[in-house]
Amino acid sequence: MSSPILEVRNLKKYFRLSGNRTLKAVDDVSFAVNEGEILGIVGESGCGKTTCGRTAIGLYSKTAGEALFRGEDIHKMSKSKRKQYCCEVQTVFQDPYASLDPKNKVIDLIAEGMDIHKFYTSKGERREKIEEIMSQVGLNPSFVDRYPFEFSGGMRQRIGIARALAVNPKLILCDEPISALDVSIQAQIINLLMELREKNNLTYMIISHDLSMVKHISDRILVMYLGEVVEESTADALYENPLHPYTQALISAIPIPDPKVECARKRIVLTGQLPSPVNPPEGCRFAGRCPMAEAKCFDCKPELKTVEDGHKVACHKY
Amino acid sequence: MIKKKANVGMIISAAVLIVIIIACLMAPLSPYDPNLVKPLEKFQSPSAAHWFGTDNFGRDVFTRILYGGRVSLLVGFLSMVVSIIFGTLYGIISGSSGKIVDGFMMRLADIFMSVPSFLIIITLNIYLKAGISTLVITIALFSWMSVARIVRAETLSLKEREFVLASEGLGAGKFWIITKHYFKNVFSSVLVASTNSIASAILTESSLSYLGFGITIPNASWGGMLDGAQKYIMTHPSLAVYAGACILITVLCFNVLGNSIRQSYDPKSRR
Ligand SMILES: Nc1ncnc2c1ncn2[C@@H]1O[C@H](COP(=O)(O)OP(=O)(O)OP(=O)(O)O)[C@@H](O)[C@H]1O
Ligand SMILES: [Mg+2]
Repeated sequence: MSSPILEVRNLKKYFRLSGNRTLKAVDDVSFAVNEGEILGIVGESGCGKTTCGRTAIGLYSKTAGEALFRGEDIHKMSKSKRKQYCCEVQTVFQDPYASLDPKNKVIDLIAEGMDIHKFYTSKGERREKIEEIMSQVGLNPSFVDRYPFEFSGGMRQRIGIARALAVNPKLILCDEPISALDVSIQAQIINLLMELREKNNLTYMIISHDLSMVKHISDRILVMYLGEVVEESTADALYENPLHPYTQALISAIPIPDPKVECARKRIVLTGQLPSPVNPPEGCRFAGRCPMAEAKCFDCKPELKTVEDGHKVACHKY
Repeated sequence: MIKKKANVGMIISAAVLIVIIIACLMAPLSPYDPNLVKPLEKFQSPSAAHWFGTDNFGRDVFTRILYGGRVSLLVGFLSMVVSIIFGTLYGIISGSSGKIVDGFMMRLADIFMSVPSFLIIITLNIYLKAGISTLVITIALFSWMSVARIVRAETLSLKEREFVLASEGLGAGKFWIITKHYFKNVFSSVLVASTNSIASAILTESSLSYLGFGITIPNASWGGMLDGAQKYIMTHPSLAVYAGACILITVLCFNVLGNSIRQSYDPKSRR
């Protein structure tokens, strides 16, 4: 693979809560997204995937660390540079209901980016471009003058994808693009994303809590736990040879469509709950739920280290 | 957008208001001069010539009601427009600014809310040149705060919505987000607030005129007519009833209209 399009180094994002507490949503995360690849980010609900993705592309301000887009620090860009950068990196949001302004028509929703950056010279050209994008994402172009409440979740998500696509981005952050949708629609949206990637040479960061979907489409996967990356590897290696006990548990929870194998294999059932990111445990954050935890795990924090080529894990066992 | 669904209250109140407004607009068609004193014709009972009778100066009450309605409606409408425009801008700027500016602006609004506004309006009307513009400005000066508060609260919640984040991600600046998202989304609440604002402005104008601080005599206004009728309340109570009923019906209709609009916009109260 080629050079990284996005490089994140020691990124931290803390939220200030009332009573002088801080919530460490993302704590010291480093990773890179290579040009043209699909990077999956998985982890259970509340582990900081959304915050990590949004801070990495500059949608949220950072607390510490840096995020470089083609070598340039996103959080330190000048205003004009930043505006230009917005066309290169876009987001598809998790909730297709909250992410579309209910008072705007489809055409204005999709054209918002084009309006901001003045990508057209006449009203007719604007409409033409929008209709073309709509047919690209599988929306009937005759719907341009409708309001979002007239659409189903899947159609709304297509509007969201069209809005992102309208500014010709290079990198798209897909934040759980299908988790709010019906199972029957999910495959359609994933297929659409894959198709658009082929056509437009896109790079994706796909956030999900559904490991089986991410494994299916990603080149590389980051596993997050409580604001930290605990394992990073290629999708195949992660599936064949998961190193971190947390990843092992996640993978053992994916059902296998073969009753014999499914019955025979052993599942790792995690006990306990995700600890609070306000007071994360010292040492390994997963230690309290880890079936293999030793005394050292509770005292000393494991570093993310390379175990095999391109396979990193943060666990004392390795 | 939620489809607007009219209900009975909305239709009736809108119809009554339209009738009142049209009647007031057509006041010059009346054959009588609203201010001409005709001592010989005083205290006439309602008849075909004088629908509501005549008052203590022999003036046609119906004509004076129409002219008075023009003043009340005009003052109500204009002060509503001024206070809604100012209140909406103030609320949106306050809500979309940082904590310090927002805090300062809201405390300022609180100060305006906590002063005895009616007394200050009276004082201002004594010292400023009497007339409709003075009334409008002084009433608006003390009625923009509730609109500002509503709009600010809505802006604060809009700020956290994902479509605003999406807009920022597309490179939108603050001005863009305010004009393209905030204004459109606070519109329905502002519409409701505007009907309530007209109603209370009409009440304030009537109270001022009743106390003699509003529109100058002999020009007609509903409040002023109430004041004039007061002296004859024992002998000719109907004089007070006409003007009083007009104020009551108009204010009630504006409030009912506002409520109905709010209900038709609120998905939770619709069946
Ligand atoms: N704006 C915010 N203010 C305060 N805390 C926040 C904010 N946004 C997120 N958090 C907290 O940060 C943590 C991580 O949230 P985040 O939304 O990134 O998780 P997630 O992995 O995307 O979860 P999900 O799968 O539910 O989307 C959570 O504990 C959440 O409560
Ligand atoms: Mg999320």
